[in-house]
Amino acid sequence: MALSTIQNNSFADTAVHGYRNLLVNGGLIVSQRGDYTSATSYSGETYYLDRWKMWQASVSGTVQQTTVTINGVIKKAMKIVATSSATGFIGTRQKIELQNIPVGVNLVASCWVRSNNAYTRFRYNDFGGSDANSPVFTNDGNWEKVSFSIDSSSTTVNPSIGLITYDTGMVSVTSGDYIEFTDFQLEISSGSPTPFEHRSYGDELRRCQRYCTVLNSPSNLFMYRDYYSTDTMVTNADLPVTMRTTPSITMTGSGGTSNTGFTYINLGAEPTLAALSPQAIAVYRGVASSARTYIHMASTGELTMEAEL
Amino acid sequence: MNILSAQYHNGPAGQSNITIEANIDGKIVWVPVCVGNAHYDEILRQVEAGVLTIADASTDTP
Repeated sequence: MALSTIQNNSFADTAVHGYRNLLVNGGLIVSQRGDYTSATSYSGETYYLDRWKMWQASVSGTVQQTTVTINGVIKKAMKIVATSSATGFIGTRQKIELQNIPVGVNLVASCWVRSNNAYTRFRYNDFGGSDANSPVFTNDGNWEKVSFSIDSSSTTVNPSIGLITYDTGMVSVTSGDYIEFTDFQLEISSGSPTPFEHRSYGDELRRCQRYCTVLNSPSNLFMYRDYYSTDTMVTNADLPVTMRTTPSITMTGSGGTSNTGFTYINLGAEPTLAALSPQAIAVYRGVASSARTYIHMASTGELTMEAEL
Repeated sequence: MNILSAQYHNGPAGQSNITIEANIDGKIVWVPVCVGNAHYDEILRQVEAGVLTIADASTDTP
């Protein structure tokens, strides 16, 4: 780029630059754990769309990855709908690693939101050593851009911020009440929020994989190992990014041997799964006899590695 | 997090207790022995609270 094309305002304190959003998947474009494009019943304190943890008390509900149009622009969004009525709350939040928060500065959260519950608002926990609500939004069912300033001084544990139907305590939630949002951003600012920082799907996916990685194998060749030995069969897989911590592993899929997600012969029993570091996992088991032994992930198999907060 | 059972497993080279096979909310989850992993932290909390016991590794594993 020619220097003549750099505008003076690029150097101004008010210039808008990249890498501003401290949240991951604020645009709700990544959904590794499943296809939630239909309303899906959720459990509290559980992750569905990447990085967004459900926030729920006394009220059952559904979560859905929706496609919405705001000011003529098509966006992905997340919709939470109450399916029962009670005094409680519905919502979602994102927990942030303390090391990723610049403690001692002012932050501002912003997003597009629409809701029909009078108490829908931002709520943060463990910022500046305290928890707090924003004022309630308009909550008339129409999209509105909302923001909320946060003081992160004295933040000492992993903080979180999200959207919730809440007041000084639980509130009345009626079946059909909903919160739908997108373009959730948390940035360093003492003033107004800047426009939402759009990141590519690949960029956002890599950021999500620090906390959750899903591996599958339509080709039937993933984690393939074939040998003749009387020893233990071991097959490994490197993870695409270094995860936040050594992850837990869940295997799904029933198309393999013994109704598992792996196809194998001559193993003494179902394979053991272990993550030994944030970078790699291993699958292993002693062989049944001296004979050809092989293992690979079944075409319907899937491994989910979780290192969430 | 409802942890119905938990059992240690040894490693492929005979390392002791390197992973835990846990039934969490009805699903089998392989949990690393690693403080900071949310599942392991919860297992430790329930063990210390006396509501969960981690079974020893089977002698025929791995």
